[in-house]
Amino acid sequence: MGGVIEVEGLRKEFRKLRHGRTTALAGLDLEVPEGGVFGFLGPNGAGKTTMIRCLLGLVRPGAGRVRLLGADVPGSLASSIGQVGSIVEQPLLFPRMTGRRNLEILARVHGIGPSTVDAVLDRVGLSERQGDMAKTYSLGMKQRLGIAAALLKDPSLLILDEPANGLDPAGIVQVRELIRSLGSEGRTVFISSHILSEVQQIADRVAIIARGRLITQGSVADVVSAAAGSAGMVARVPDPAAAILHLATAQIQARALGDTIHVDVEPERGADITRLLAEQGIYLSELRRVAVDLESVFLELTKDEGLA
Amino acid sequence: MRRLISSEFLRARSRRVVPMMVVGALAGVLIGVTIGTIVAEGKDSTAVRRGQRMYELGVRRCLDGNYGPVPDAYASLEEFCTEAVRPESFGPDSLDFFDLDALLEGTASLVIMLGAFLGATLGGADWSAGTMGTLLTWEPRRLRILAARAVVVSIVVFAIAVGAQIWLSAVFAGGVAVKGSFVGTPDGFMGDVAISIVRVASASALFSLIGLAFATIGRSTVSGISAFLGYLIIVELFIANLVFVTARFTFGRAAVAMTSGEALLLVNPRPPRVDPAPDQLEFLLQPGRAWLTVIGWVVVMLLVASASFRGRDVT
Repeated sequence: MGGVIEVEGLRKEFRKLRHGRTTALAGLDLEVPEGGVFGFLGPNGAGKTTMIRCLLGLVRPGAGRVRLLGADVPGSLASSIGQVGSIVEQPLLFPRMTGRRNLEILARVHGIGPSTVDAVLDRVGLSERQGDMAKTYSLGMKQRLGIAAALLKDPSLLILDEPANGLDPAGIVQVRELIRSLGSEGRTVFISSHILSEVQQIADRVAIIARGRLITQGSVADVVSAAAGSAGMVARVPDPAAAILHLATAQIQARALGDTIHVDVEPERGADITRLLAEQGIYLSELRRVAVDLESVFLELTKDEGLA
Repeated sequence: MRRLISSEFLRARSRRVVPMMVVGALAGVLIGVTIGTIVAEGKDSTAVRRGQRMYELGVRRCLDGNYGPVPDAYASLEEFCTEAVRPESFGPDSLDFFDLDALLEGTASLVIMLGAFLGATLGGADWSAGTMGTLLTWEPRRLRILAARAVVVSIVVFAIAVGAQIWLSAVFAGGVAVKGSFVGTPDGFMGDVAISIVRVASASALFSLIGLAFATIGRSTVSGISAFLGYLIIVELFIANLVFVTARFTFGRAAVAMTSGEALLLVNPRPPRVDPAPDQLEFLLQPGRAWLTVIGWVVVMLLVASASFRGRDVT
């Protein structure tokens, strides 16, 4: 192992007052390589935020090992935290202080000067509103102020939990561009998100977790193409019921999908479908691979978890 | 650590509750002393003559036997009347500067409560706003955060307590100048006042740490203040009266001895009926012991707060 984030066998249970214990992380393994944008995906309750809290030393794991930029967490976290910027869940601010004052308080902890505060406010487009109380900010502006706080340390690793939460479409585009540019500057940006189309656009690699366990991990292209191979094909035929029946006699599973049928075969067997149906006088007007994107992969991989 | 303390100072300075409490205290002092000055009688010749007449009338009534039989302790009716009827009781009800020490002592409990509330609010703000998680992603060493906060809270509260008492002294001096007298102020009085101010401010700073500890354990300003008030009601009012031996360890009673600089006699309201030991009837709480009691409470509370802060997840 040697990534900027290394997680091995991470377990965390929370006690509930009346319902015993709930398992948030059930032996999670994860490795995030240096550089680029890493998408961390999972249905609600999968353990994403708990994992991020463990990374940042906010929550003590029940078992397992966490390393952040090579430092053990929580024991040596203080040595690496100066290079890590983060937002957990939502940026929480002092509502009756100005946006700028919220940043200045954090900046002083690491001796960061006012010029850096100016620079990050400018970078997230909040320079003009820096003197207003944080309670007057929209959710999107609070999110951008949180990103500004995360950038104050000029971090080599950014951990952003749902950074597009509450943003309007224009805000989402802004944050997307910001994350993309941060990733291209040589930093590692680790984002957890449920907006899969966003992640697909900006992430180089992804990990999908469910019920506190890793389901898959790899480059976006690899994860999508691996799923595409088993996604099946869609055929348009004049009589879907007859086509399904004939395919079944050849041990090929198919199901109606509107006026088409979904055939559970690899794309390489397209010629077999054509021949089998033609032998029964059923002629295809269309045969194509099922379109696969990150969202469909995510839904497919997490469907058995009953949470997606 | 120096940077963390600097950040904590900025955070404390930026909290609206701090200037609100300071302005409230200053305005309260100004209003109180102004009312006192208006109500007080001036030491003009008319008021002095009226007091003199009332005194002479009182002596005559005593000598006429209106104050009852002469107690055994007195040799004569004249001696008894000289003791029983004092001229100062009939003087004009005016402001005397030498009362400042007693005034500071009388307002000490308010200053101490102010310190405890400020400690709770400055210690609980991050929890109430949910920003503790953010702070921990900047400084993950929790003991450092608590230590820096304790330093800042105690310094801020000490400074506010000193400032408020100096303001009270200045406003009172103004009232005395308008309608009162500086006559009779003993030598070295201002030195005693300064010691009294520092003593009360130090006690207030210690109590701010108790407020901070309560807020850290309860993880909110409200629970910090509630726990403090709950302690005062449950322990100081009930338990200490029911179980007398606990009274000497309570920090409310200790505060009285601390701020006055004099021993406080604690009397058991429910003494044992059969063969009570002397310390079951009363206990003389010396100021030194009172300081040690409160310092002990502060240490214990901060240790509990540290354990709670370190041991529990921040979610």
